[in-house]
Amino acid sequence: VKPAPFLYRRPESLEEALELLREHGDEAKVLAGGQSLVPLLNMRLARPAVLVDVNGIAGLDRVEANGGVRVGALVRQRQLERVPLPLVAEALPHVGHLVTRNRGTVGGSIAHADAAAELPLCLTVLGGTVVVRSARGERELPAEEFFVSHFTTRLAPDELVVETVWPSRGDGWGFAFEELAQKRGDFALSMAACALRVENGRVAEARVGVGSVVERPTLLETDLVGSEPTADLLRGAAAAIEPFGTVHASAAYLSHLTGVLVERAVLRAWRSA
Amino acid sequence: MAPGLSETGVWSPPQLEPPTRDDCINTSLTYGFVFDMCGVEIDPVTFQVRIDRYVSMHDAGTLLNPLIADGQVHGAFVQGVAAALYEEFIYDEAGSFLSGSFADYLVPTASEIPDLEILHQETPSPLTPLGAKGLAEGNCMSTPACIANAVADALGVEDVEVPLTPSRVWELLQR
Repeated sequence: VKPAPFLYRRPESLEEALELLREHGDEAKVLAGGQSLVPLLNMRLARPAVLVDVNGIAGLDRVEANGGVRVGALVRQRQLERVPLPLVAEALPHVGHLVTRNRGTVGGSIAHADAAAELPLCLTVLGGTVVVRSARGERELPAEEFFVSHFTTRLAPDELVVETVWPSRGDGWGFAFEELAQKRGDFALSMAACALRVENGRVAEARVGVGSVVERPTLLETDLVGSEPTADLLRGAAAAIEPFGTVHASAAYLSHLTGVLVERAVLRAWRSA
Repeated sequence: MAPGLSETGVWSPPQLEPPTRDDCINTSLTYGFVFDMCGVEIDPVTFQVRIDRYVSMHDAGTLLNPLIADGQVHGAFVQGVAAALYEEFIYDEAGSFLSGSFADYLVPTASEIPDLEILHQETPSPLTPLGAKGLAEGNCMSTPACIANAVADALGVEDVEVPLTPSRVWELLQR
């Protein structure tokens, strides 16, 4: 199938792109790497009137270490593999395939907000932020607020994701990412990620999140702080998640699997801290 | 200048006749033989099936081109693994087709396919001029059954339904 007709615009500057988004609003879709959008266009699940191709905008493909790592929206997922970011380095091999990571962008994955995408979960667990800009100005949103639901974010129709900020964590932190997909590079049945800080043999801070089985990257409430992680403690925390079943797996199996992945992620982060 | 002549010939084996009144048919001029053996492991935590070793033996009579013969076996084996562990036509109660795109219809790739050991037993056919028999899609039939039997044996259950996805294996063990 081929896409429905659309108007194609390739702005040369950020200002021009924001002006196009202001003008067309809901009618416009932003094209970056196209690894999710183009299949949606071809299947006509998305029928935007205008496509704003941001690939020609200079300056959106930079990576800067400055109060955390600031990653330009156009940085390709493959380039991010070469940035020493904890958790992300473990998650990226699960993001599609090498050829899709060569095209797919970090900002695109964040703006697309697929509940089964790895990068939104990592950004949420690391406590990162999303920098968005429009002709009206710029704002920075914590990942926990940015992701609303499957394919839905707090992004207004005239706003563009320009940068994501990945906080650096110092000594005492451990990280782990776990997922299970039936096929390599396929959408995960379930996924879990953990960032935790250990002090005097006890957990001092813990951020544990799950994806795929929920509508958006979701942080778990755990009783980890002040304790040593145990399987029982973690299974209990994961039990609060109620997965919806899919064509590939029942809700009951996904509930079991999510418990397993949470346990593995936390115990591995604990050991690496 | 080449002469503008061509000739097309058609021959149908006389043995290949329409179905009989009781719906029997000889679909192939020659028949090969196949047996498969495999060892599987099931992850007791995630319930994924892993094929540890797979051996497929064929008797296609005299092999006319061994390289093509092995290629045929490999291709059919991949289709068999797909049917056993991945691919499924899924419908909902209203009859809507739910696995109609490659996002939902899981075609395995090279990453999912285990090594295959192929053995050939060459027993020439007395019925064909070169002693050759059939060889092509045998593993499409033998491989799903072989994997399913191995999984049933590992789990100690009588009936299994393919594809044996992690979710389906887990549910078999909940009964």
